[in-house]
Amino acid sequence: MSLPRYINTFFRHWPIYLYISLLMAGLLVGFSFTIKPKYTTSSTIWVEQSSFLDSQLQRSSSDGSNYDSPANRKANVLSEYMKLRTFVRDVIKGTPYQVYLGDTVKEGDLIKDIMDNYNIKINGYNSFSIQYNYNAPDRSYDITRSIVERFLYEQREEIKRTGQSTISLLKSQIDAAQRTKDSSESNLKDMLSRYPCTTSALSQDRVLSEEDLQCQVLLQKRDTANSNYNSLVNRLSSTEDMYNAALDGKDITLRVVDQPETYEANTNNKLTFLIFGMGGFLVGAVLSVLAIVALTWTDNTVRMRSHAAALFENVKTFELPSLKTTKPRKLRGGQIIQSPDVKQRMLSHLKWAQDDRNLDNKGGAN
Amino acid sequence: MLGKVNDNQPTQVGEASKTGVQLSIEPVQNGTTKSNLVVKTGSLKPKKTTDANKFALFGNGKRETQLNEEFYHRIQQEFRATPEVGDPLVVGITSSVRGEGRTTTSVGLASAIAQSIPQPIVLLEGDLSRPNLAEELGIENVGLSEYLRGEIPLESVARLTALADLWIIPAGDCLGQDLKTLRSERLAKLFSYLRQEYAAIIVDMPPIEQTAQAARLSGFIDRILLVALAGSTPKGLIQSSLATIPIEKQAGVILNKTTQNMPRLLKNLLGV
Repeated sequence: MSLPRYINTFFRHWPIYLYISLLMAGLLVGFSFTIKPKYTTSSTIWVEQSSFLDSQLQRSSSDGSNYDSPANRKANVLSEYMKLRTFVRDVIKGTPYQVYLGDTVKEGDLIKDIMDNYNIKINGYNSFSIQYNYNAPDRSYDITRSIVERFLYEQREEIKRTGQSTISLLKSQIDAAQRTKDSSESNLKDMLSRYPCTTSALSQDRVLSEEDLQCQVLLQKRDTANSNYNSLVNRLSSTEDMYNAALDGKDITLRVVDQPETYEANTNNKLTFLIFGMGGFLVGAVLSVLAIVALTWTDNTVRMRSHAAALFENVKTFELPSLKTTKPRKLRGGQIIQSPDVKQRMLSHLKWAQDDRNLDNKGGAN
Repeated sequence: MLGKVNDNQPTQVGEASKTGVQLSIEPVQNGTTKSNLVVKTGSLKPKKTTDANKFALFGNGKRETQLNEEFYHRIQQEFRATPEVGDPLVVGITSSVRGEGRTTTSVGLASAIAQSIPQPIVLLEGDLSRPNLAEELGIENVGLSEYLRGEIPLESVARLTALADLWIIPAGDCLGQDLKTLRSERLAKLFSYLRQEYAAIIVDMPPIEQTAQAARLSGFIDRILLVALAGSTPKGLIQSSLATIPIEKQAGVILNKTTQNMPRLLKNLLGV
């Protein structure tokens, strides 16, 4: 198998290969017109700094060993939700496509489509975006909107589920802190009644007595108990706010900063046609090459002198090219008109033959 | 109309006619393809013929011959430059199967040699089962078969064509007994006669794979050229045909009707 044979095969039918390539390019450009444009809907969610309840939620959902950014944490939660058929079904329920639910095939296809075509993107420390692609803008919008709404709903439900127990925990801790605080206050009062020590007296530069030291410890315990108590009260307040907000259907830890918006991807433009056209031409060229290879491989004849010389090594090879002459035109009466070149050759040979004969005759006569 | 041959009064006409009998081809009348064979005796001047028929060798309209003279000349030059009477070149042109351009190649090569050297050349049609040379040239199919059966004398078997010094011997009518006709002892006599009288003897042989006649004729031929139709004859068949020809007689393979598809520049670049 030599390269000239392949090249010869190409040049034997090169217009066909060109037509194949052009045809494929045309087909693919035509096909590109039938492709529906892609629409992407995107929405961005802002996550507030982790609150006590949020940290509790985090602790309940994972071991909390690795601290992520709030956006990352929520994005991971959403990502996990999106892997659940139950969650995706709930998403579908919030859209006009809920009619598909119950239809095994359509429901399955829709769930798979949503699972395959969503995308979660972390924008920074506090925000992340959810995107969904589809070739119909309405569907793209509806699904994205429903995902966001469902996610916020699930988060609220989580707060509701965890909030009551968290508030109870905080209240019990506050009670304990109250008791500690009262106890430390009482101990300090007893001490002060027995030994009048003050903070200013303790700071004076003099030799401290044992009572001074006891007084100092009691003062510190009281301050710590107060601080702990106040902190717990604040946390309770914050948690109660979150809980009450959740009960009212709000979530103050998550908010949608960018409402779902739909935009068209770059399809059906000149560049797309060009890419499809070039791709089609390339496919046609590849098909042509395959055809050339197949034709050359299966060709068990000899077409070139060089091929013959290679095949029949010890035998001389000659070639007689096929000359293309104009086919004789037939007139109505059946008379055949010779093509000009052949006729010219005939006349030329005739003249020379006649001249030779004349010369011979003259020689004979002499 | 076939004239009477007078063997006792040999006549020489020009250089080519050493047989004493001048054969020429009558003009084609009114567009008919069949012409009469006229035997001329005792005259130094050949009968004047019309232009239309003299050129019958190169086609009478039926076969618009693709005159590939340049390439025939090249083949002739590569093959053997200058054969002479007394040391003649006896070349057989055969092919694996019919329809590969055997007869066309034979005619072309014979005419090329005839134009190259000032010596008499003869083209012998050896395919008795399917003769077509006479029909192609528009002459009566009388020749080899008739001679081998003893119906015509040796001297009147060859006919001169319009090309000076090119003689032809049509196959004639073998009456359906091609092999039997070729087994005639007269065949050896014919070849020894042709070797004495002509500088080159071109034999249009039957297809080597299809008939047994080729084997019979090859005994009288020095070199055999195998014609293969480019893009048609399978490689295996060519190799098989070559194996049939004795190595010392293998003159080469003529690839007929090759098509020049590749641009010249590319051909030069690839060295093909």
